[in-house]
Amino acid sequence: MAIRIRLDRLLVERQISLTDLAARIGITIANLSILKTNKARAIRFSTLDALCRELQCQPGDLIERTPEPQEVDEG
Amino acid sequence: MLITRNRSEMESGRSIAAVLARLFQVASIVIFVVVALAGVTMLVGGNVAVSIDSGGLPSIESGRHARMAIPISGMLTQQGAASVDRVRGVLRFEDGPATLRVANTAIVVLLLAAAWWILREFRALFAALRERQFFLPANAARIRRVGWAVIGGEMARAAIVCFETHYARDHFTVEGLRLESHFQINVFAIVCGLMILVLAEAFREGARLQDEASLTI
Repeated sequence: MAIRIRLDRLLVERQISLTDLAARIGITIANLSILKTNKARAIRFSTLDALCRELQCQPGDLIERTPEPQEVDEG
Repeated sequence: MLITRNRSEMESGRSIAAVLARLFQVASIVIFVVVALAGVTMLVGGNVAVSIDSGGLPSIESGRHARMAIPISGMLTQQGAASVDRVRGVLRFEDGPATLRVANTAIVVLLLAAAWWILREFRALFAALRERQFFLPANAARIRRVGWAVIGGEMARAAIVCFETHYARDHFTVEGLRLESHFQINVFAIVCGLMILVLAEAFREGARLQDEASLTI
């Protein structure tokens, strides 16, 4: 997917572990891991709000869109 | 109070699914045992008669007086003031032609195999429901297969009755009855099959939504 969650980068910058963040925002480590590894299909506003509150950032800092690789026509 | 009632309803649904799963398992075992016993009886030279009734339902009988049967359909040759439109029944005989015996046996074995397969699908479905796994792609696929089986089974039933009544018309005579063949599809069964297919689509969509919901954080 072209939308990526940059949770790993923010965790390093804020020096917070995944376990700590999960405990602070009240979701499981497994779910946070899904988010971190970009396997999630969608994110709730409430989760986004909690993440932004704890990481002291804006949604735009957490979510980024990367252009998908163009398909090369070999014909 | 509400939570308690909901929990008891969930447990009740779970136990019903468990009972149905067990019931379908027992039914599939019974079919397997009946076919196996009939096969063994045939091998040891016992008298086994495979029959198809006027509705196209198969049965296997064993014993000294067991006789094979095929469905017949016909019109009475002599009608009174009040006429009989169509007579349906089964024609029983001691020792039919070998080709008919083989064909009947093959048809009954195929029908029982289909019934056994459908029962297994139902058992797997109710076993999943017992585990509270409703909206799984596998469940949607199972329901879809059952829907197609209901439609296909009804077409096969109608075709078998048509084939057997056609055979009876060409090879037997019954006094006072002009035998005919007929091909009649039960529209209700087809509608049921279509409804099951619609249900399968609902389950497929449910599975997709559940998958999406499980990956929504």
